[in-house]
Amino acid sequence: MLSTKSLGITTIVISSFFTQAITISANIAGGTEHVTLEHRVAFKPRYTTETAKYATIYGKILPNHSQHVASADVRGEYQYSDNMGFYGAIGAVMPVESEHTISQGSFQIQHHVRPTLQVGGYYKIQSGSYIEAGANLSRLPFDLKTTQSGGVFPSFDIETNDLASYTLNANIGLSLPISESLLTTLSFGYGLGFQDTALPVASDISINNVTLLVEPTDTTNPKLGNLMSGKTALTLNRISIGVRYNITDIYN
Amino acid sequence: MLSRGYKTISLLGTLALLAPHSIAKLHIQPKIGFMASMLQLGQSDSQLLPHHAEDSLIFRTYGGETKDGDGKVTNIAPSQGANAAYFPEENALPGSVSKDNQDGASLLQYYAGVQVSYLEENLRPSDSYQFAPVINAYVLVEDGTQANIYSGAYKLDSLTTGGADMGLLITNNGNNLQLGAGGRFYRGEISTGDLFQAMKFVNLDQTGVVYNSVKTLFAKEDNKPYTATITPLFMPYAYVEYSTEVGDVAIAFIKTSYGFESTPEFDDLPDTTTQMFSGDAESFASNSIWQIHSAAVGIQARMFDE
Repeated sequence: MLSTKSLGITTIVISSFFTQAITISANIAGGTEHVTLEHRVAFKPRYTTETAKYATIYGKILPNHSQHVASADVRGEYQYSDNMGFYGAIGAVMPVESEHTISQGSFQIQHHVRPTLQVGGYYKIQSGSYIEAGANLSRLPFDLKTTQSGGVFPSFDIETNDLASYTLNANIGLSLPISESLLTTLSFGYGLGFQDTALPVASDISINNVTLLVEPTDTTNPKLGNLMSGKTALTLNRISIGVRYNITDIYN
Repeated sequence: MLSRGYKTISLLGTLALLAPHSIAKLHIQPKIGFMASMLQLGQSDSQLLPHHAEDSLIFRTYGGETKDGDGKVTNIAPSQGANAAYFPEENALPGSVSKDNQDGASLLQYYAGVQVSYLEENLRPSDSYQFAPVINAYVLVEDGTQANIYSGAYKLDSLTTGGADMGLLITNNGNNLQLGAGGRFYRGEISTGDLFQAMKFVNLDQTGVVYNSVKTLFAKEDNKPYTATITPLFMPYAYVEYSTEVGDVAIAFIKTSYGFESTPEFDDLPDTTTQMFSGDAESFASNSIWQIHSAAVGIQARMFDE
């Protein structure tokens, strides 16, 4: 077990390393993002007799919606050479408008604050500006419920809460210096998707009414109604503008 | 009185004297990159779903008919809605999409343009910021992918188009910030998607159910989707652009724009009986609110700086 003295020395050594080798900064930003839910869906006439034969169309629906967001993160930079280095950041993104009606009025999706992790590399120009490229991994928590009046899944009543999906963005950014410690940043994240999230199957579904949220595996004898895949992938594109304040700076 | 020839020579001479000073401040810089656009589709009021109220277009259960001794039909089983939204039950009101519904599409297009600014740059390094007017004009090359919009109802092709904007350039030691506004013309085609296809391919058991002229409602006989052309739509925006010199010639830039609302119009519409836009394309268009936000990333060059 470390003594108080050893702990103090260790703290000083680690702090010294961080302040001399890593630039630590705080970022705040605001912007707009475009969220896409990707579902596989079977479209077919809803009918109450099984004597009908259907030529089912399996396709993807990609309901999109936009929202304004605010974000904050803490970032560390490690200098690899005079002009180049790596960065990592952890933070959170908060939606300004969290609830949206999507998919021809069929669903309401509600977003929550999400944690993010960024890693990447930067190139520092002599003028003090930065060009950055990297990746941003986010965990998107959301709730999804049917409106019962929508165009695609009318009369269905299903609510699923506490869903979450991981999504990946390719990020590119440019930062311009305002003063020695303050920069303004403009960045764009292009959505790549990453992981499907499994939507829970509603237990009260029967063949004659609702087949929403059921994985459509039986294509030779399709169930009735519009089938929706049990999995959905989320991607998001994001534009943001903000400021970054260097708490410690290895360049100064 | 001066002769016309003398006046011409004098004018050219004056321009020649002024020209070096003027051109010395003019920066014409080609730009190339890509632009990712986020098209946001909203509506100002609830929107009717494709619907046809004629009884003949309703599925009927054939076995539900009963006839008397004269062959007269005395009872018809209730008509069944096919897809409750897209093929409503007999006498049902057409379905509608609520006003607050959102949709959209992501587009990725090549970007090529030119930036013109008027500025006599300070010697570097300099502590002062300089301000100058700046104009951008650009072309966006056709997006090769079809966007799926309105949950499978339509597909959207974004065609080659262009735009322009003007603003204020703020520069210091090769770092540049632009603020301004402008607009782009959105050109595209909208066509019927999977939901219409699903209706088209309905094929019912001969012994159990009959159906009427559903096919003629939703698809042409040659099985191609119906299409409508979007009249070039001016979409205004405000923009912020950051750029920085990465060498003697190259400048890296990121330009983000925030779009304002526009209302589309359609040309080259199919026959109204197709129900492509609830049978009323004009109403569908005037009820639509489109916005486009975008980010362009690329390189510009100091090739024609004087």
